[in-house]
Amino acid sequence: MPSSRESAAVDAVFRAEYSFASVMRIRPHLAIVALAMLLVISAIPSRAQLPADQMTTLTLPDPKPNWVYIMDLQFPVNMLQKIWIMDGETRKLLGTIFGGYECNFEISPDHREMYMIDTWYSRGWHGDRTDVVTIFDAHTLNAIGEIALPPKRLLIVPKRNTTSLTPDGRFLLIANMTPATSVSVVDLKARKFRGEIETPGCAQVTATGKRQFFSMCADGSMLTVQFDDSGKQTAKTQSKPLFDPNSDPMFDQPAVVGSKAFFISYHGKVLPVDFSGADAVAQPMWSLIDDKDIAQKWRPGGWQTVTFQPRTGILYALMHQGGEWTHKQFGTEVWAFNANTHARVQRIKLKTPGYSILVSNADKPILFDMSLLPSKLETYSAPDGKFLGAYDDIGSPFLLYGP
Amino acid sequence: MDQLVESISRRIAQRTSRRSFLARLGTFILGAAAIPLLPVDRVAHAQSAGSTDFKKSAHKNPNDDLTCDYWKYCAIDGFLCTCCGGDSHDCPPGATPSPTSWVGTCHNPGDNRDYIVSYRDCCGKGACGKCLCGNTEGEMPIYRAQLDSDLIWCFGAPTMVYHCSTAEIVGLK
Amino acid sequence: MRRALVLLALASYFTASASLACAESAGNLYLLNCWGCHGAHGAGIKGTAPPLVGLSDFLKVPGGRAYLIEVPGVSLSSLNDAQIASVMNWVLDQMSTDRNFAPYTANEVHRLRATRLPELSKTRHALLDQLVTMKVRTSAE
Repeated sequence: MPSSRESAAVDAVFRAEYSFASVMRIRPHLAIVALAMLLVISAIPSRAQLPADQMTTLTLPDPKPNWVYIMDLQFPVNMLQKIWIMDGETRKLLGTIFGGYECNFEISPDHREMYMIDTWYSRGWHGDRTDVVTIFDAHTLNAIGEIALPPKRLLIVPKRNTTSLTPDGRFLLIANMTPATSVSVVDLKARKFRGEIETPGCAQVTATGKRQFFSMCADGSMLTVQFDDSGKQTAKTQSKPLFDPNSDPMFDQPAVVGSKAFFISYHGKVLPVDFSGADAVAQPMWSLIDDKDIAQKWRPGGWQTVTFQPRTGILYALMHQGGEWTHKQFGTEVWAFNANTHARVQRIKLKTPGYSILVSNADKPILFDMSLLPSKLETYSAPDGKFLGAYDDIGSPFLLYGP
Repeated sequence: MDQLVESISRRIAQRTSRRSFLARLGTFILGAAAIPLLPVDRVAHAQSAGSTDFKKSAHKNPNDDLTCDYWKYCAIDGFLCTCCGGDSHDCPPGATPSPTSWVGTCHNPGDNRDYIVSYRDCCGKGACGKCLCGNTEGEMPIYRAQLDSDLIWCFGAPTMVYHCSTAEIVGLK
Repeated sequence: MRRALVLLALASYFTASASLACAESAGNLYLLNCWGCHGAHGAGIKGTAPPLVGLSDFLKVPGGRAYLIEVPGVSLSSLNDAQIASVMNWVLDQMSTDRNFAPYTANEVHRLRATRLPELSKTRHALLDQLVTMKVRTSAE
């Protein structure tokens, strides 16, 4: 126990009233103790003031194959929709992009830009209508430009296949409806709207070639359109009906990879279509459901109901048990099929019934299952179906996109 | 333990209003389409299989125009104008009837007749957000636009902003 | 299942009675399939749905008679050939001043609706221009 004089000496050292040397002369052992204490104390985080933060804005790196982009309608208002960008492996939210009314979203194939295609009224809920493409830098997420469109884009609850990019990223195609239908062609390199191509009796737009797209028609046929670099139509071919919408409608959000599309129907049929030529060529239909499944009332349903992974050749369908006209019922399982042999390779039971699914095109593929209620994104290893984790509360999500 | 309960309660309280909307959205979604806009030319029945009672009432009342089971609403898809300051065939103040509409058929159990019903939306104001009803019976994808209930059917209205849905009798089948 | 049975019943009803008076009335077919956009008196909506008033004008120009069936709203509708003939004849009768026309038949509709109009606007404008040239109409709108 130090004497009061010794304590006073230690205090004095701390108050720097005495130099170390002077203390060494008076009380050598005390000086050493004080020095030791000072050294120890200096190693302890002091209660000295923290330095000021340097505020910056973060930027995104290039996307990884397991990133996912989620379209949130912000229902019921629907007028300021948004995209959530998430790393599907870590389920960490990386950023957001905002849009207006009934948005469409596209990512450039070179991953340098992203596009929101949407509608705005000058006073929010009324006023003059403007339809635009807003260009975002994919790393900074800054809006870097705008391209005006004819104010007639198809206004519908956001779906895939209502805008599309050509594989080289040069042209953006936008489906219009007034209710007459057409496609607006935008040259992204020139940042200009080039013109409209009529698609009478058909709706939507999906690019299937360098300068080619298709629309689905009311009688089950496909309209294939080719155009040139000036955005003008060079060929238009309407196929014979490839399915009968009266007896078994195909969902209008097929899985499309390159020039091949997989459509699935309300009654569980798969229709693969080859769009590599000037006319759509259907391949033989096959069924997601066998007699036993039919007896148990299994059928596809939801919003984004089918997704395809090219590197494994596996097709995934969102399935539920229900009767006629339950095509929007949440899916309780995802069934995985070998698209070549048509064999079912996996039945994945979902923890939370989902509305949209997407499989990533990665070495370690992830199957994303998006639920509207509760608002949640679940991830599963694909195709085995091992649950990897979930992310809660993503607004009112409807669509999933991959990079 | 007390602190854990308190923190959970606080989080729930913060989310309550959104949760109740989502609850309604949920009952609607289960068996129904998610968003405005209505089918045309459907042969539909009252008490059709897909209708949902968003009020969670024990009684399914085809005569109550504030519920999804109201006989005229047999193929309705959207927010009921009756809950938004309008009624089953009138737009709320400040909203405009869309010049274009869906047309379907509903059975009236009151007089045992089938009526032709026009599902005319009220447009020009933001989404009402109340009383979401939906029926996917006969609902088709966008290539059959007249039967697609996700399309904004305000063509010809001052704006394409959807507010709520009505059901207007236009004839007898 | 109920829905399928109803549809089946309806389908057989319409097929069997296509030529009988007890089929769905043409007026009701119009209400259910056309009225929603084209209006009660065929006024149409500018920029949204073309008018049906004076539709019989198209019968006076080459290609016009076929055009009225080939338009996607007609050819791709879910109505059968007899129903289309019925409702088209009703529209021509109700919404035109000239009631002196050869009515459409189910067979004719069957033949005509197989043709697609991939350049709908061009086809329509060409016909309207001809109507002006022939002094059937004063404007190509």
